[in-house]
Amino acid sequence: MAMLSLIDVVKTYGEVRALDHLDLTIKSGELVSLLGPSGCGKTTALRSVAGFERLDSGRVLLDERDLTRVAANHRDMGMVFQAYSLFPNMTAAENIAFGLKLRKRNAAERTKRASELLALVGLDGRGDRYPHQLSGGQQQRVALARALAIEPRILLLDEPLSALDAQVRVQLREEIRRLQLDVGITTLFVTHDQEEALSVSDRVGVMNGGRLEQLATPSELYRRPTTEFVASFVGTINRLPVVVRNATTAAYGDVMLPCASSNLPNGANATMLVRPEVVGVELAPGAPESGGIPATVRSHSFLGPVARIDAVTAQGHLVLCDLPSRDADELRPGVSVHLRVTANDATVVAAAS
Amino acid sequence: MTSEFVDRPRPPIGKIVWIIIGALFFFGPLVATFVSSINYNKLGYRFTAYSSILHSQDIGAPLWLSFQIAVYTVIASFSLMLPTVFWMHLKVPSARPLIEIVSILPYVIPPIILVVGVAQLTRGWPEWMVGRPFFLVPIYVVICLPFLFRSLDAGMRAIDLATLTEAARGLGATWGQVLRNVVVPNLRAAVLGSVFLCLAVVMGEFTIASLLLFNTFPIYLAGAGRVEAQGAAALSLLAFAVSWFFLLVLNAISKRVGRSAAVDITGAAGR
Repeated sequence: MAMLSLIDVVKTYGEVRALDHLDLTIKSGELVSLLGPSGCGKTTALRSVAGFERLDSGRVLLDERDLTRVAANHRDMGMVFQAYSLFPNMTAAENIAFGLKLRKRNAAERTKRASELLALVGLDGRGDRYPHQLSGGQQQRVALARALAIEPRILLLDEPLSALDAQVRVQLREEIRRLQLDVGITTLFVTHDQEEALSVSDRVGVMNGGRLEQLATPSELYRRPTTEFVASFVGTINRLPVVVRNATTAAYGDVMLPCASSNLPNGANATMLVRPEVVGVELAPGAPESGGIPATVRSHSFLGPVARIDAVTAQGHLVLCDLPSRDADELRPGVSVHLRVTANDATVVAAAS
Repeated sequence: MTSEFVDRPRPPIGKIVWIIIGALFFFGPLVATFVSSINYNKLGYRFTAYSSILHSQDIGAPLWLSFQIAVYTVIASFSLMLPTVFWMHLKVPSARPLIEIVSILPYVIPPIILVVGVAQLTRGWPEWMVGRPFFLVPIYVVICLPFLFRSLDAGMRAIDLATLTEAARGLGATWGQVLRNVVVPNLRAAVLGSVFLCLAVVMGEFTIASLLLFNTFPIYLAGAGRVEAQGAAALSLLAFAVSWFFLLVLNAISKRVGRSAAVDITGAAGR
């Protein structure tokens, strides 16, 4: 197992800065996902680690060994690509054994290792198939086995599931996580699919404009986004313009709202971020006069176990609320309500400029 | 019952007429050449010309020389163009127009100009270098450029070269191993096609060999043809048959390229 670090990495393509002073450390045995929209630099970061991109500045370290100027074929990293990358002229077993052949392992060892890995990825007995005889999911399994065959120090996954259909994608991402935990290999996983990232990762890094906006555990990233971009990219979130009163209170108009401790100065304009499922909704006549945001229900959508209530505050901001369906029967369009948040569930971040 | 309402397709008479005209234009001269190659007037029709060509004692040396030159040309051409086209695809796709223009220069520069240029360039070079038939190899490499570039370029376009290369590099392959183990095997059909084209071009090249006074196979054929009219006609047909043989082989290979490329790109068969 190895620890991977990117230190102050900069990479530009002409006028475009793909990586903008990126710092990232992945601990031994950890699976870290890089998540972000197209062009945010996540694939460039992964390719920089693999040695396929020459950095303008910065360093790539693997257990303190500087790999920045080391050629891709000397980095000992296994990579699975977004596009199907199996060598068409080789069978599945030959593909898996290719890296071992380059390392001059004997034929018996190569065959044994290829068989073990085929079994590991659930393709026992399919070693003699050529890539065009395998489905997309099977090809990516073989690609994963091929990457693991060389016992790499780091596993790099560049959107390996994006070309697959939804059902196979879910199945394969769980298999990838199981294999990663079994082998205990440090893994960098690039994806644009937040569900994929949140479900398999130890930590998730959200990238934007070549920078890492936030690196945190999936639950922390979801519950405590540190920027508006992260909040908007991961899941659905309500944004309310507020003014910071003190470390744990922010004012939305005249209503004082509790919030998680923030470092913003008193009086600063900020944005309060609240997930729909943590917004409390009470009918106005029964609600206490203080502590809630007066609002009117605009629409009610039944979604099975939950109901999505769209409420509009007196100031005209839309707030989405997800409630258990059985608790939302009375919340019909036109009904006056009070919206409540608790300190634990409300994050205040600097207002986006 | 409803057949009277079916709009039956009319026979494409216009197309058939054009095909017949084209076939006459194409096969007419061939038939005429064949007839004149076996027509000995008062002696009647006989295959003497073909027989004497095939049984000639002098044909071996020039044929072997041309074959050797062709093999060296193929080796030299591939040594130059395979890494060049590979690097162009991978690292400098913007250089494609330039390389494409350079590759078609042999089409636009007449052979006589090429020979004069080579003569100027090599003036004063030692005799052992310019006086041997293998001096033709670098010139033929230039002549083969258009075929080789297009064939390799099409082959590399048909596969996901960048991903395959990166996959191999990531597994520890050197650039040489990438070319040998991954690129060439997946371009096999394109490479074979280029080889056949180069062989066909070199085995049939007359003008430059004649101007530089080397006795290659085409020079021998031309000389033999001057002795009798029937012989010249027979040689023309034989040369034509050899060219067509290479073209048919190339056609068969290119069909395979198309099939394998479709599989490579989409992986559709397994999905």
